[in-house]
Amino acid sequence: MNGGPPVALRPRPSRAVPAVICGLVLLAVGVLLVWAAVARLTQGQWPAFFTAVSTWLSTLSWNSAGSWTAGIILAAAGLVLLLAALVPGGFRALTLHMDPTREVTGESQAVMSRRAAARLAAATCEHIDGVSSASATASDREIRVTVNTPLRDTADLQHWVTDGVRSRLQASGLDPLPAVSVFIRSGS
Amino acid sequence: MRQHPGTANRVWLAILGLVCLAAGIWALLLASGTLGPAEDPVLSGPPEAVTGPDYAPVAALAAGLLLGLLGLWWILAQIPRSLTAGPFRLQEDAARGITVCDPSVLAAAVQHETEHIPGVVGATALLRGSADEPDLTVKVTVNARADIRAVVDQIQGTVAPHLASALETPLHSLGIQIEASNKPGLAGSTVSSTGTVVY
Repeated sequence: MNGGPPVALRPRPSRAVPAVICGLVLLAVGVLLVWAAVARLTQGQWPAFFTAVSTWLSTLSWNSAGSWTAGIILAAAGLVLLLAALVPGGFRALTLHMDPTREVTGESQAVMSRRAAARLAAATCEHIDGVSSASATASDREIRVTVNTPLRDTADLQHWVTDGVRSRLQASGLDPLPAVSVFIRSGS
Repeated sequence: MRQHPGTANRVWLAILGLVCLAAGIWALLLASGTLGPAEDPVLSGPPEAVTGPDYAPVAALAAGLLLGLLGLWWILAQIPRSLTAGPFRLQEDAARGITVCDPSVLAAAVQHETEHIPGVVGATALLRGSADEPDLTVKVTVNARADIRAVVDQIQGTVAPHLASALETPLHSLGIQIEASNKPGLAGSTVSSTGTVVY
């Protein structure tokens, strides 16, 4: 029987922020409606905030600036929500090569977080002669390394750092290997 | 390691986006006069005119409850779930006796063994599935200078087989999640040294 881990190790962004914002808006609208309905049922009249909205809407015509603005805001919000749902977003982790084994009938999968890959690249640079400090950021396709050096001629260093980081990532088993971009900041 | 509601979020965001976009376009078409006289008021009568005065509060209450519960469910759904396995039942014939094993005990053993691999700073193991088809997920934090390949190979070649041997069944799936840290490994693999070289 084949199959991967029940929970994806390499998920795309879950869109938690827009989901929480929409959830809060829905909850707020729901609470206001329930409040208004309960007030109407118990006291016999709608609360002031509810009648104020309906009064304002009855004084507003469709071709007024308020209607145009509301239409544009609604359409734009709809577009933003649709884009948030449809644009897939980058993976949060990079895959590591793994061979199948007898002890696992389904899929064996190993991943490294983008942050871990960046930290690995930066740690590798710190062992290269001529590097005073290094930092790195990683996406799912590229690792960007920034190196500070006291050297004036940085052509060789660029080559060493690129080769060093690439071979370290390769030795770690990253598959596919992300592209490595190196930026040298010379102190002189 | 934990499950996030990615698919549900995308579906509901798409539905809400389509509703908002349609409402916005409808309002703009009305405002431009394409769908009717643009001079008409947005609300021509009291809101109760839609359902009648007797049903309006009930309709508002039902709509409010529906929207409120949907919003609340959506917010609560954002809490990541670990989907940990229930107790593993290891017996073949219940009439002869019942053997139950808490998966957290096995996970702790996996975690302990993983933390003894050179270069590993910390580990968390999670077992899902059943005793017959166990799914193992291990999150390993390694020292940034450690040999990542060796850590992965040792988990796959030693730790996972030990678990499979304990359960007397191969694993259904194995997932390894690597994080890196600048902290030294628990079992040690890298040595930092400082000093002065005298020529």
